[in-house]
Amino acid sequence: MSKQKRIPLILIFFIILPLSLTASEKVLMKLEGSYLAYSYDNRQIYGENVKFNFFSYDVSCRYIKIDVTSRTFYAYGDIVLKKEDEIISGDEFLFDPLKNIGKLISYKEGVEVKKIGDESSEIPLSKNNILDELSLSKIQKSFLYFTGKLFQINKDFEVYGFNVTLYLEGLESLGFKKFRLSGGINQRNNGFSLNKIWYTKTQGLISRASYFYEKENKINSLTQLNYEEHSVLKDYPGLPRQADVMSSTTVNFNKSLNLGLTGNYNSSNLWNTRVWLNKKWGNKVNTQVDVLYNKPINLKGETWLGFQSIINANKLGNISFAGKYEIQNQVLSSFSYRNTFLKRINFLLSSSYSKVKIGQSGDYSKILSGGVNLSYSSRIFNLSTDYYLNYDLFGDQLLSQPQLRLGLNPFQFYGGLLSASIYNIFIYNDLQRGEIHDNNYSNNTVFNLSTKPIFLQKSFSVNFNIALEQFVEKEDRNFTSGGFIINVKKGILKGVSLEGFYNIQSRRKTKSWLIEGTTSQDLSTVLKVNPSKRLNGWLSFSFDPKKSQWRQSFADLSIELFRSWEFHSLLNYDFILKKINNVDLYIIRRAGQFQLRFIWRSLSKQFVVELVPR
Amino acid sequence: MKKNIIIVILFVLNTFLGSCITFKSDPLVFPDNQVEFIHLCKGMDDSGELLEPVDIQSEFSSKDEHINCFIKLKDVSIKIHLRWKWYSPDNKMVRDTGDVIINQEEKYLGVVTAYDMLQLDTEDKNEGQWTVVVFMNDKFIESKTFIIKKGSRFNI
Repeated sequence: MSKQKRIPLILIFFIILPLSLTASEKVLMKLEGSYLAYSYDNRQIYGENVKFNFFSYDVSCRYIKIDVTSRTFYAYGDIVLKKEDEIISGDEFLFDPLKNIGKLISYKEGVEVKKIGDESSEIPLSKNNILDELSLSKIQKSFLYFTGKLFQINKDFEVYGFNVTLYLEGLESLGFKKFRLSGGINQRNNGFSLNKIWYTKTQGLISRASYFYEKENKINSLTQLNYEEHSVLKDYPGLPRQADVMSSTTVNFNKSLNLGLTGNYNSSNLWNTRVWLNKKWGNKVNTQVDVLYNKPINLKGETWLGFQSIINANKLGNISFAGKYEIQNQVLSSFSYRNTFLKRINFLLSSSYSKVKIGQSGDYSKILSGGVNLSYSSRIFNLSTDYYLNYDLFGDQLLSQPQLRLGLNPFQFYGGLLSASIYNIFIYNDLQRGEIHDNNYSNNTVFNLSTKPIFLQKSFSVNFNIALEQFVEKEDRNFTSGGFIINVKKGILKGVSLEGFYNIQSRRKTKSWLIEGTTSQDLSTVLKVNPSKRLNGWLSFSFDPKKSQWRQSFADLSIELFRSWEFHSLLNYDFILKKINNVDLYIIRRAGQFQLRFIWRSLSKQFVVELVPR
Repeated sequence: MKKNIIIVILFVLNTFLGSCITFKSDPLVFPDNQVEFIHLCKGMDDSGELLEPVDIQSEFSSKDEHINCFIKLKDVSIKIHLRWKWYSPDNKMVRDTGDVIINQEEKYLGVVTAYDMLQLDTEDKNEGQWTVVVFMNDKFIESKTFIIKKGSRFNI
């Protein structure tokens, strides 16, 4: 079929499909009111003079508030519940339409509470802070909200509106006869759904579809299809089209036995599939067996048979072992044992063996590795010893590496004003490669001393940090390094402060009598301005005292504008190049579940509009 | 280029047909809820033209002398009756203000603020969860619950 003929067919397919394949709707409740509003930003509903059905009752109320995310339903004011001859009234009605339970409250001489629905069960419903914060004015301040007279909430908590009007930043916009108001709350409908059809100049036609099937506590299956048609683009350099199918199914036979099947396919002829069976033997043992087939591009497929088990023997420790065998005689295996003795001593023993093909050569790399770790931690110090062994059987190379770590936990003196810590690590390496035998060692000691902020005046504080490090090794590539940081902070006015940092770092290489190395210094100052919640900014300068040279300056400013709009800017000036390096300007609208950002970046000369979910 | 235009037109048509966009929707009754907010607070700031709640909270202790239930209404153009009812942790009404008349002259007021105060005393023992309910023109408009920590005492 020619390209010209194929394009209309593809388009018709994508246009007809969404109309014909609408997911089955299981209605939880319908709300009819004189005024209903749904905030897309916050996934909340507010309504006035509302009628709905609940547990065979016709319910009417003056106001209703629903927080879809937390599944909180609250009707209040002139509540009337009618069922045949029965009429019940109250002031507040908290309810859960999914469980069909409710609590009707009346305020008279006392507080009267009546259970609605299943009266035998406890009703754990109470007002929360979300309801206190949910109001008509909050919804009307949303970036996106809808109003109408008829809303429908489905069992998957998708919200639909009929004859609704969209408000964009408070301005009346388009109307919709039927519209899905919510974006879905991480739940899926059983059946096929077309999640996205889009066209971009760079990717062409894009389609995302999925098939979901769930039988509660029994089967859970999700298959996703991603399709990109590039042939509609002029001069597209890549493949004319690409499809990915990803499928995952889990079958729960009972609480302790599950079977899983996953499969992934890419139209470039790359695919894999895996079947696994998981069995729990009480709370202590978990065993899994699996078969995996993986077909890479242009390479022979691999079939792996796997077995792994984890044993949690409480005081006797945790043991895990895993083994995989590939039918071309490849092997992967591992074993580990972990336990804690006398609350403070931790022990870990691990070992692994791998025999893996090297490319297409027919040779195999064989590596055996293992390690033992024993550590002790107390209030004052911590001690750890490691032994690591790596034996490359193919290359006939053996590396053994014992380590000893000793650290003194940070201790404080002068009433917590000063804090000091010291840490030492010794490593010994022994390498055997055929006839060649080599060994070396190294030792590193680090000392750190720091203070809390010392207040010389009410709004003037100073604190510093000193660090020293000595590294020694067999090859005499020793070095000594040290650093000192001082931080001074001064409050000038309410919401205005000035901070200064001075930092000097020196690293000296010591070999025999030769001493060489580098020293760096940095002086910087930051002016912070935060006079109110609406205004926040800082300005920094950095100076190199060694070269008597100004380096860089940064400025950051945030201003709250109106209705959750915010202006933000970031500027960077380079004193050495004598030019403004970069200016970033942002206008941000915070809107509950998402943020809308308009960004200008001078460096890339780009204007970007971003819709970022939160 | 032509292809792209056709694609865009088809997609716009699809959006109209699939989502049923309309430019005319049924007019709604304007929302009648005049309550801007109701807060429980310790104090009141009377430095401005209107009262403002200070120290808004839902937990109080025996050191507090009183609890205020503050209401802010908007767009008031008729005479309204406000009423506060306070309920103790055993769900009994312990204070009823009766009707408090606001805007008797029936002028348009953009914002109206009002509050009722529950006095604390050291005589009675009333720790637990309390409720205050506000009615407007004999209609329930909102309830608020608050906690009195152990040792708090009231005089109603």
